[in-house]
Amino acid sequence: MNPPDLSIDITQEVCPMTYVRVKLALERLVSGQTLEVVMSGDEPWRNVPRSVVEDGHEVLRGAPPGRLLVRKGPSSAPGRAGTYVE
Amino acid sequence: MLSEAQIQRFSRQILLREVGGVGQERLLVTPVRVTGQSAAFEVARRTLLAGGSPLSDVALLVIGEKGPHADVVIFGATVAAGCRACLAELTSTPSPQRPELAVMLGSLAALTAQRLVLGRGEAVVVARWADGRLETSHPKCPHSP
Repeated sequence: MNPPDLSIDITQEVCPMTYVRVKLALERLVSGQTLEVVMSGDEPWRNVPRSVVEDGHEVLRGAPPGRLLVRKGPSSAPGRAGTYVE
Repeated sequence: MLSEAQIQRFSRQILLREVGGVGQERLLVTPVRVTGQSAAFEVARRTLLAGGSPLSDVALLVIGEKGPHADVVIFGATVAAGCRACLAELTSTPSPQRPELAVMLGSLAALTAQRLVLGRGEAVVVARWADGRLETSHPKCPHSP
């Protein structure tokens, strides 16, 4: 697997800042680039993947344990639902 | 680029799909002029300030009111001054002055102004009370091409 284009660590954040950090990081990427998110605890694992997909991005399979891998969706389509890639 | 303090302060607004970090940056640098003096406009003024919008007398985006009541007219930057006066005449229906209505009207005005700053929505939005209901419309100036 190729290395991610950007990696962030949100293990010290609590809701809602967990997804705020992810959202701001995704805005720095262009469509198709990937973001690795280092996370811990139940709350981010429950909410961040769901929010990522709701914002039109893809959650990719194959990330190492404790990490979420996201591919940025089309920037021109805010609100478009994204997908989980199996 | 948002500062850490701005990220913390506007985090819930940044979370909104229509805003995000880029939209929040635009809100922070786009002045809005609020011309009305009624309670609704005080609500609009405070809501915009809380959302990070700078208020200025020289802004292109204007929230105004017509007459002693609380009709709200929100003009985007693309609406000419002549059209603004004309449209204000078209929207002079008096509105009730109950506090709860002022809060609703002012909040709507602020949110509509934010949408315009973010490049969403119509260039002219009119909000008014009609038959006990809050209505919005997007009238066009009859003199504009």
